Amino acid sequence: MTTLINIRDSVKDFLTKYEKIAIPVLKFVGMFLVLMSYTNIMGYSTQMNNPAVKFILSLICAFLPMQIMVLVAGLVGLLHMYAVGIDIAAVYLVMFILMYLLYVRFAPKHGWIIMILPLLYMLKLHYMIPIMISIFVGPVGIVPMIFGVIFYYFSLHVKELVALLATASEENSIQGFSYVLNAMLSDKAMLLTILVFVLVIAVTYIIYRQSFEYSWLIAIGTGTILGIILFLVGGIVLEADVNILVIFLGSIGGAVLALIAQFFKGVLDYSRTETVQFEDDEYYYYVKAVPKVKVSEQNVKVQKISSKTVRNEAEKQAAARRTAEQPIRRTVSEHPQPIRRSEADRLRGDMNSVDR
Amino acid sequence: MVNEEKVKLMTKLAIYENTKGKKQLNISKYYKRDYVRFQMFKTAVSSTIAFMILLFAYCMLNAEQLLLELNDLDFLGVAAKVGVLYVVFLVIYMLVAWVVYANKYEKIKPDVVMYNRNLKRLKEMYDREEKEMKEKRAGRSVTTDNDNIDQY
Repeated sequence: MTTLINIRDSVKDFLTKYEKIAIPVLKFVGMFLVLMSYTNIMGYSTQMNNPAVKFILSLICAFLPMQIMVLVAGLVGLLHMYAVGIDIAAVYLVMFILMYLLYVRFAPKHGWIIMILPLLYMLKLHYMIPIMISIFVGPVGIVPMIFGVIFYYFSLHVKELVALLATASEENSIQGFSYVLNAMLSDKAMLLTILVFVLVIAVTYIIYRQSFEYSWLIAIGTGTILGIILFLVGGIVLEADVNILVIFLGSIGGAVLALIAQFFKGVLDYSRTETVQFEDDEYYYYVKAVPKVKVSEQNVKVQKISSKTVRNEAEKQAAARRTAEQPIRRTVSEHPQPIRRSEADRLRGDMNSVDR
Repeated sequence: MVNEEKVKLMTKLAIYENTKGKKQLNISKYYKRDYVRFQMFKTAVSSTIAFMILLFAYCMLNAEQLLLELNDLDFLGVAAKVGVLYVVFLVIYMLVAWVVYANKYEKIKPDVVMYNRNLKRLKEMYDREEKEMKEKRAGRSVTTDNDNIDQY
């Protein structure tokens, strides 16, 4: 367990230290995967299937805020739909506008859920969606999740339509958008997915928020089992086609991933290093503010600075313990010389007080 | 000389202004009631548009059936139905907007209060500095006068 916690701490340290690089890289990889899943699920527009285009788009998105990334993903989806037909693109656009008017206005923060769903579906990990949402977002995530599922099933029906159009002769031409919409309105699998997801989110969230020990573990377990049962039962009752093996493997894999995610939860919400500029009547200030963090176990460089002043071994240990417990600026080496010296002085002062 | 306390305070203020404060200070310009009302008005507009889109989509989907029944359609009855639906839709959305935006306003309050408190402290610091400066200047001018007097 200690090793695990150490790993988590070093991941956190790494992210804090190199956030200027790490966050864009994570965004880039995420966006690239999302665009790849769009190609996998839709993939009608040859331009958007071009790896170079995906690469460049992801690269640009790496430096943009999350909301814009969601918008870009939506536009890519629109272009894919446009390659099928203008009526399909129009339906997609109307759905997009409706989603904005009815939901995104209220909670723009959670738009990423809609964007990421196709990727999870592609990886067959969609059974973990409700559990992840209840851990990380809470009930607020239900609405974007529903929209995400609707968009996913929409793209599935468009796929059917494309297959149908390829075989259909010109005489009995099909009206694209009404075909897709009617297919969606009578799609039991979509309805089942939405119902089960909402139920699982509700149950998992309620257990997760309880204060008893290991409530998170029980929440994830219960959510997973409930999801499996509901999908099986619902599949039989609604006569929707469900694959039992996929449900089992996907749910258990999702539960494992949810446990890992739960363990790493909070790694990303550290307070960040800020660089600010301001002025008063006399000076211009260019300040780099580094948040104070606790030193992790392996980060014992600090002890070496003060070891000279410590006389015997017992005192040395006591001093080391004190130093390690104390919150200090971790990126000492990044500071200009005067600060570093004052830091060392302060520590030495602490040591001396221990000596006495 | 650089006043360390002042720099700390200014840094905290600047960080807030650059991050969370950007949106929060904008919201806190309004009174709660005005803010919530304004947002509810915007919600009313957007949900009206959404309702119209939904209605249009419904008509398009059932276009054939509607055309068949067009002759013996009870227009008033249909209009009343649509009207009731619209009102229900709107009321639900207004309630949601009311809860969401009232909560949002309450949520940002502590941060804004803290910001204002820090701002006040900074101002006090400036006032004190200015006062000290004035006293110093007055003191020096007195001593120079005294010096002059002494010289005489």
